[in-house]
Amino acid sequence: MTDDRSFERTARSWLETGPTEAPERVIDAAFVEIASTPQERDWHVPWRLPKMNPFARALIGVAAVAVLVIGGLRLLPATSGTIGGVPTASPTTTPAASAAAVASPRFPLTGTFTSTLMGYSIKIADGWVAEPATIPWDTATDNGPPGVDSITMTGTDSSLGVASQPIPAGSTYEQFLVQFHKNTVPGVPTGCDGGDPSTWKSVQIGPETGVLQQLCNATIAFADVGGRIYRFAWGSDTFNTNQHITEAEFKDLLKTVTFAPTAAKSPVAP
Amino acid sequence: MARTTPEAEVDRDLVELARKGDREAFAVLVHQVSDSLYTVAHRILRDPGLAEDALQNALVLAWRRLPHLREPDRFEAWFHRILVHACYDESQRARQWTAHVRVLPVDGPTTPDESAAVADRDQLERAFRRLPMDQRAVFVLHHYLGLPLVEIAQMLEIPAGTARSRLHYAIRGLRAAIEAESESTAQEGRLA
Repeated sequence: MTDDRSFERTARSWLETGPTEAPERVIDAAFVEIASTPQERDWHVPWRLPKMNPFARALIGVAAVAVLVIGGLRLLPATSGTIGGVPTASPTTTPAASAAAVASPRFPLTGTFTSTLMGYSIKIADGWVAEPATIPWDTATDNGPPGVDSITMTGTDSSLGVASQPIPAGSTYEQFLVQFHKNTVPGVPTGCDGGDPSTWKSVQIGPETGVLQQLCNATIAFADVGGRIYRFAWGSDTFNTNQHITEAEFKDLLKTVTFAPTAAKSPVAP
Repeated sequence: MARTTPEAEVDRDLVELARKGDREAFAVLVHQVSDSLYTVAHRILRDPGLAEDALQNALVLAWRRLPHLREPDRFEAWFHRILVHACYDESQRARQWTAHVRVLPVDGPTTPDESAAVADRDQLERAFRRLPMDQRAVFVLHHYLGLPLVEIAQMLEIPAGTARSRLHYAIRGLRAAIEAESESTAQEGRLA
């Protein structure tokens, strides 16, 4: 088995030996588990929107504005604003509104999810489903599971995706944000990219101060902690603002974060 | 051997139904791809029990994550990626155990030709078990499923260069291990 051709022939022949059919009992066992396993909701932030003809896009745009205006007028007295609305339409949460959200929360944050891969902990409510990431967060190709921790907020149509990685060698946190923003722009409607990172508003994430990139049906909070970039992305399945978590709830959630950058295991993705 | 590869056609409508939570549609899809998934897992892990666990975990995980599938036409490739990661997980769980397992040589053959072939396979088996999981996966996908490296890279969501280097190092590692073992056997023969 010295030459390449002989080696490959032997290797292929060796690989051919072995079972050729999946055991039925394994499939049956899987389906017993699947019978009681819910699917994850698709919280994915739509970086790339499907192609649509200009007329249909305009029509949907008009309809969306109408829904937002009518919905906003109906809900204005009762709500404090929802993360994921059109940026200019989202009212800023005042300290009073935030305090009210803490005083009577819709979702008492009684549990804790700790991510050893990403190096942080966050409070979660009863019934929320946390799915830890299993591979490093690759900012270039994927902003969903399995490269991010996914927390499904049962009772809403919203989910939280959290990931972190060391600041790439030769780069800075600010440069990372600029690049991340550039990656965002081609995939979202005009005006939904959150603007230049230097204009992003600050937000409290645990004991740290981060920034918020406000998209149109998602919001992403970033922080630089101990040489790692952390990203907390809120997204939703629908444009039904009644089903979303509110801006105050998202910010309250961010305040519960504790960071452990030195314990994080996730490297920079290749 | 008729092998279902990730290029094979699956019913896009079934994938869409399964994405929306139709378990029966998912069951049909699973029966179309499960043989391929299991045989690949078996070739990567070299252990029927671990391959069964990897398959079962991959099936459940695929069901849960199906709504995240962006391209229904890439269903099989996506499913194989989940399986490969399930194999990585299983190997991690089994690492402690396999560290203490000694691979026994296969039973002796009867003719010289068979002897050489079986010895080669035995050497391959031992050498393959020493490879890292990510190299094993690329080696199996390339030499067993016959997938081009570009497709493997897309499937595993790694750069094409990474897929190429993993295959290169796998082959180099296998050859080095086999040659070292042959040399060692020859020396033992001379000493005897």
